[in-house]
Amino acid sequence: MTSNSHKLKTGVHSCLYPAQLLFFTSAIITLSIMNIYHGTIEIKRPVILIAALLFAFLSHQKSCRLPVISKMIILYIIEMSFNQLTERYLRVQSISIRLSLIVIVPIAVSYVFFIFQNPRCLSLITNILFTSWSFVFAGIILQMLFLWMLLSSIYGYGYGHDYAVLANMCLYFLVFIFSWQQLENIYLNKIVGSVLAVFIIIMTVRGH
Amino acid sequence: MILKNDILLIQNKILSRLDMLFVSLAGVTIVTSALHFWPFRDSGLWQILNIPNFCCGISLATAALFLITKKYRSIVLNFIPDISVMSYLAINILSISFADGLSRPLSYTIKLGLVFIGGLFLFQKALTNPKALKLCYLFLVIAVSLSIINCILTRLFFDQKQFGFHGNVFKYGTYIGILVPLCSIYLLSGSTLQVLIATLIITFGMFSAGSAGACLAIFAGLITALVMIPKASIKLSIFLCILLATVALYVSNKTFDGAITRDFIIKEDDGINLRQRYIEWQAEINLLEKRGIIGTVAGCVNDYRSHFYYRLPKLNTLRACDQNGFLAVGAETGLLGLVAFIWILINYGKMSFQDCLYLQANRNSQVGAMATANTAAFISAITANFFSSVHYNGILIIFVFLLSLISSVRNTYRDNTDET
Repeated sequence: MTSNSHKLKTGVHSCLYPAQLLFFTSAIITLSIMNIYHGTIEIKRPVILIAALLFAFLSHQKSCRLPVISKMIILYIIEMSFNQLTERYLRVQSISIRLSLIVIVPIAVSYVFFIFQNPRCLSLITNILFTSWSFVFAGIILQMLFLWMLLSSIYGYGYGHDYAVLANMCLYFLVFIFSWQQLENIYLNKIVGSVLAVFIIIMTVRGH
Repeated sequence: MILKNDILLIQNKILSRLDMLFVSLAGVTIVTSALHFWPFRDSGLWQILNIPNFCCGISLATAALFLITKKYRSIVLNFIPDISVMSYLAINILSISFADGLSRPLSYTIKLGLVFIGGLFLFQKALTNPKALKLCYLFLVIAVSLSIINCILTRLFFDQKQFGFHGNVFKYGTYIGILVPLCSIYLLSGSTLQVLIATLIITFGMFSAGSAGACLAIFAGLITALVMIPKASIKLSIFLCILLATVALYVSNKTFDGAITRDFIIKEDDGINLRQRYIEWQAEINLLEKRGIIGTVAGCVNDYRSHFYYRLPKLNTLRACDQNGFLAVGAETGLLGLVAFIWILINYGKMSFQDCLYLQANRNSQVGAMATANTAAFISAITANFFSSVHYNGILIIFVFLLSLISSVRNTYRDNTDET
């Protein structure tokens, strides 16, 4: 019984599993390749990220805490990869598209596959994290409004950068909702962790 | 057989002595938190290894020792920090990979880990029974009284710039902003003497506050308690305390040349520009555009914030520790760090509110008051965090103590149904 539920949880039984695996890992590989050529912020101490990924890779599945921390580590590194691309655009004639948005499409597709596979499967921690994100959004928006009122009354203008901040927050939130549930799958978790480790090692060898 | 019994007896003795040691360590930590960095204010080593941090270090070492001995491992496993705390610490560590220099983020993260892991273990291990819980409130009363008395003496009779133990109005404000509601609301449900002490703490706490954050935090805590406490007589006492606090605020403002009014005003002294505090808030929000996940690295917000003022004026009038704690966490550890920090607040906040309602309905008034005091102090901490930060060295220990109180009250009064 335990073994069956474990297999269900990991998605191994599902016929959608190969598609899920393909989409998500291809998105992470694309993200990593793009970052190798377009990263904006230097990773000064990649050894910390590598060690964290190693920890995530080796963390014991029987413990209830370690898998959550390992998911958090991998999520942080995926989100960091998006952060590295926030200033980069793909320009085709007059059209400019954010590189980070291109990568999000396969991640979104894989999320849809996941939803087909596991309807209504949000864990307690995922629910709390959703609530935390909501508080972060609400808190920052309220503070933006407060500052907008102060700035408008004193200097006569609001603040244009707030829209860009909000757009970025939405992007990171999307990455979170697409990735968090995917990482529930132990095998995907390990594959994504390995791809990111290779990416960070390449970045280190290249020197930036 | 006899030998086995003897060994068991010795082990039990050791464990009970250990409990006493942890209660003593918790007491020393709480009382000496009022001393802050006294007497070696300028020593870098002392800022890491001051008495409260040192006590956390001892408890961390003890936990490590227990962890390697198979027999006592379960003691540590019972008091392991919540997953939200572990995730928050993990993100702080990960952020170091983007640091230009290693010393500041490393020392900041070590302090954070020491207080969050060592402190939580110390307090949770110490507060395992009702007696220890009550004793800790007594320690709190001593600490907050020491802090307030010293602050008032300093402001009235000595150099006003040396503000209380902490030498900084914002740090002091966060300290008493959390502790005044925590002590006084608990005491208000006790004997006449306790009510008198609570009234004095609230009145003189507000008189000495000196910052908008401290005043708002104390009022937020008192109003929360007023709403949540069901007993009419305690409600009346809290209402009278709020009135007294308002008078104390008025007198303080008159005595100290409108210091609090100046902190509430949204413009700089030049009357033209927006106060730097709010421009700083905007800079930290702007920072989320480029460094939304990476942040500026734990403990390093000062290295980058001035790059994100954009069109806003930079007047260099910002005073030390005048920060928005939430935005500072977001700016330093990125959005995921902020999400993890909010996760901690949601976990403990939910626990605190649930226990408050449950214990008020099912236990005696003092136990209910204890849970209400924790909830009120939790709201005060959140309020104070908008105008300063609970992460500052010396303040974090009090925040961690509050989290431990919340979980210990649950463990002591909700799980042990035979306790009265």
